[in-house]
Amino acid sequence: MAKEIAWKSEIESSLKEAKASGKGVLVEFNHAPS
Amino acid sequence: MAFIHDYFVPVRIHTDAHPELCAKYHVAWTPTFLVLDPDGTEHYRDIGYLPPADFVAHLTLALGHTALEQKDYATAAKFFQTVIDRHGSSEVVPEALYCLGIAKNRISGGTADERKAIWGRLMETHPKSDWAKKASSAFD
Repeated sequence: MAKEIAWKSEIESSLKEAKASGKGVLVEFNHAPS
Repeated sequence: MAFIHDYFVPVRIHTDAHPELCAKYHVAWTPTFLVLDPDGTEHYRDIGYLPPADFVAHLTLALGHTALEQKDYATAAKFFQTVIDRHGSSEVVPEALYCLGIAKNRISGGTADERKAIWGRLMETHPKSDWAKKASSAFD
């Protein structure tokens, strides 16, 4: 499932996008792929 | 996954590159999922991967918690009811019932009747859950 999601990589811009769109922010903390 | 894009802006943070965010949000394990409002305030967290249907149930519960903590009780009740109606086999249903009772109580201005009815249903349908044990305290 995770591969189907268009993840963003920058939290501040995502918070701004959430504010503009009325959505929440889903953050996944994970290791970078090796 | 349409559900996620309908309700969230999804962000993946690589822990090695952002130790400051790991410290800010007290992330001790990966994967850790947080639900934040646009101000960056955390309203829900999950650790570990779940199958998609279970993950959606948890995120729907998270939307309820977010609305509840923002005092938008009608929206909170809607999401908790959605967990109960659409994700009936999920392990978060007892929590959704408990929190639905809280939201309905707030909507009614503190009247206990509807909360007690919902919590009674919780105790009847999920008697071994910790949420039923918490609800039982209202009947002492």
